[in-house]
Amino acid sequence: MNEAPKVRSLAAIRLELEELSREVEEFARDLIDSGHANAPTYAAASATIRAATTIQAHVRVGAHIRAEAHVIQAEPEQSSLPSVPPSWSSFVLACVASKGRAEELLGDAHAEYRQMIETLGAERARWWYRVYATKLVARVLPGAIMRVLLLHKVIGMLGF
Amino acid sequence: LVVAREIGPFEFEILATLINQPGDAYGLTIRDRIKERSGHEPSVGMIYTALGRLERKGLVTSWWGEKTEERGGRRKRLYKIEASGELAARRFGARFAAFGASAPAMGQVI
Repeated sequence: MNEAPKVRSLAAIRLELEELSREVEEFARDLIDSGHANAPTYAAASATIRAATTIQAHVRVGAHIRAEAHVIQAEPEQSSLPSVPPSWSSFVLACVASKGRAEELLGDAHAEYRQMIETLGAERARWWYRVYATKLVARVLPGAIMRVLLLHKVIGMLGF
Repeated sequence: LVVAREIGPFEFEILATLINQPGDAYGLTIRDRIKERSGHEPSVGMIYTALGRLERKGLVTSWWGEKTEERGGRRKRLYKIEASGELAARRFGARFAAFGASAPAMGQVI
């Protein structure tokens, strides 16, 4: 498992947060130093400075656990799984789809699966694909059953 | 066989999407546009079923696009609305607009 992306993302967030809080703090201090701030503005600027310094302290002492957890959740999994969707699901989908629709269904499903790999990671995307295919099968299965029944009826009418 | 040209609300949504999306509409883009406009996300299966129905009614036509690598070497099926489809969508829209206009009056009566 490659840990590098998580560390980089977390470091980037910390840095950004710290820079942002410093900028806000500087702005508030300038406002107070200018001597033009009225009472409410002065109070707001003071509160901003306190908040900014608190953020900086938290970032430094490691109160970033929530941010880290968030980053870990958001990061796509690094996986060596192939970018081809689960073959069984595709097979079942191809079996129940009508001849004219199979290519369209499977093509759209494949394209969406590829997008899901980027957002969810390969392993979760594979599960997503299985659910997606199952739902599609549930949708097109009645049509497939009707086609089979119709075929049986035609064969019966022809006397085979 | 006479095919009814009447459409339902979901078919109307698809037709309205096709009116505003000429040329590059296929299953996934249609779903995304419907989601953008109405806020609900229909399943792709529902869209394929409705598109098949609309095609049988002669309100939309379809053709195959190019094979692409991102689709696993499969082709897209692109859809275009026909004049009869536009007419059906406008009729449906007008019918519901009339209902919309009378809704406050109905509310007062109730």
